[in-house]
Amino acid sequence: MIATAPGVALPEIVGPSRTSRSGWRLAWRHLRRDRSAYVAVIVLVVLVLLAIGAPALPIADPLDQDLVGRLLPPAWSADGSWAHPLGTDQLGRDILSRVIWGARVSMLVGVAAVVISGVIGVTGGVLAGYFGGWLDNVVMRIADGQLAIPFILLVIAVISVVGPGIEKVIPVLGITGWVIYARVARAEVLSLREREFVLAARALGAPAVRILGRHVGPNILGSIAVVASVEVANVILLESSLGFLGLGVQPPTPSWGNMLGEGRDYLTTAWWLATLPGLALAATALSITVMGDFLRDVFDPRASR
Amino acid sequence: MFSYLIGRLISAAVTLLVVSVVVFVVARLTGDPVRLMLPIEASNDEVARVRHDLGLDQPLPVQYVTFVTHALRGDLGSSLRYQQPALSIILGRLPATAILAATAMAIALVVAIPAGIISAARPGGLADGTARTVSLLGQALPAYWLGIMLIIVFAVWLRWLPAAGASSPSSVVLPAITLGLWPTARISRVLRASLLEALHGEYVRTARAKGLSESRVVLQHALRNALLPAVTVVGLSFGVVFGGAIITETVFAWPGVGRLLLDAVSQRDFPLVQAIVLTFSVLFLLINLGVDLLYGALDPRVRLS
Repeated sequence: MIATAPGVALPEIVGPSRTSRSGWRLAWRHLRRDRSAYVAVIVLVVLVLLAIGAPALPIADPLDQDLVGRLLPPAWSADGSWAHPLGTDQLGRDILSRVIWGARVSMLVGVAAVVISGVIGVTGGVLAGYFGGWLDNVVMRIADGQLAIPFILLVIAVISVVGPGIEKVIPVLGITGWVIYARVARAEVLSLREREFVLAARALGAPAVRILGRHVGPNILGSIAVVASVEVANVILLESSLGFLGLGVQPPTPSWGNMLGEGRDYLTTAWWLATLPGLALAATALSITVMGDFLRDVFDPRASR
Repeated sequence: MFSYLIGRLISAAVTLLVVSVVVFVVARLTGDPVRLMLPIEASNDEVARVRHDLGLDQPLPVQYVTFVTHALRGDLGSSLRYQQPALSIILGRLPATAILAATAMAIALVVAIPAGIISAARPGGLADGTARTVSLLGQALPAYWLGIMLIIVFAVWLRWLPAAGASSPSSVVLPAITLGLWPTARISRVLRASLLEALHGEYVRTARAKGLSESRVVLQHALRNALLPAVTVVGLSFGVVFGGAIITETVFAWPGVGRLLLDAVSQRDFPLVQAIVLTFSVLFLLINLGVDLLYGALDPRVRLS
């Protein structure tokens, strides 16, 4: 390490950044040409707006029960009414409202868990990739070991010990989901580590913290963002599976998963109970997947073939 | 080949070791499982006695060594509810899960291989478009929701197939389709991509220049090289299928290990949960080891690197 005289700033050397403003402008231009990605983005924007705006929307309270108006079919069938556009459930609660409020839960869990996994995984992966040696070995062996356990099995096992509920599900999904970020970050760092601008910074005596924060970090953000966007869909699906099994968000709070789980008991009499939240879930997951594929094509054209 | 074999075995053993640590840590997450196992009104003396009987008053490293040595002898603890060795309960349920998983994988292979080949042979064509859309749906749709939809259509409306249970051979059809959707989508997608890449190879140009028919070029020259990534995905899909079986078995009331796991979770039968996670992980590890060895046998390049 070269000691720098106090007051003498090291020259800034910043590598090419894939997430620069022109990158996003490029993405926008691509988006207008890719019809399915365009539709996916619109669906997602609408869903996010509905989820955020749920309290302000002129919809019924998702918890209001009406035992007289139980199991009403959607408005377009013969016995339906526009008072409940998507019908009511076994306790007479408005399904449209529950689907919209359920979106809040799904997105909250999806985004929060992905942020936790991302922070843990990227930290682990960057350190493993940059310093190598025993640290790399330890981190990657733990990753391999965890991958050897079917993921849903691991999550169910942990939830069975710590208990269900949204405040448990978010950290559990967050902590167990780190592996993919660690792998991607490590792979990126391994190649960046030997690039000229990093070597130059190191030769100038920049400390590791600075090299990782200023030179390596910004350059892996693009790949991490692509992985994270797809992972949001995976986490939402996983949370809904847990909800379906009764291990996720607990009633009466509506989540797509627990609505599907409750609707399962009414398959023969009221198909809409399980069908409609599932459609919302499928549309969300599908849109995120399409958008993720699109982002990968834009940010990493090599991977698209 | 021999050193490759030894290398794979060692890395599988290391992974297994990490898996055992992860399972052990998860089982001890709450600190003291005894309090969870006993009724709330249990006296302190009783807690101390059970803790001593289970060896939980020993230091953690000692407990871990005991856990591993017992596991190596096939002793995965006793189910609290059934008062029987956990392993024998699991083995009793395993055939049902194996039948379901094998049928699902068979469906996946029968559908995905032709779909991948046809897609890659005429990229951009109608068949390719259909196959890609279906595989996108297959990867994004929540499998258990698809299962519910299949029940509504084929069991409730059309009454062609049983909705639940395992009473007749036709019972396996709906759960196997549900479970097979994801691997079908994944395998066909990977096979399409790798076959497209293989078709760019020089040996393919040579084969075409020799005047071979297009079907011979694709099926005999390109496909053989394109199969390798697909083989890996088939192996990985087993893990997903085992994990997915938990939910699929719940949807269709299929009497396999997945159902056993959920019952164990709801009855707080922790030793059984732990044993199921460990058994599934070992199975998954063995399958992937088998895939690795197959891979080495198929492609000499893998052995050398």
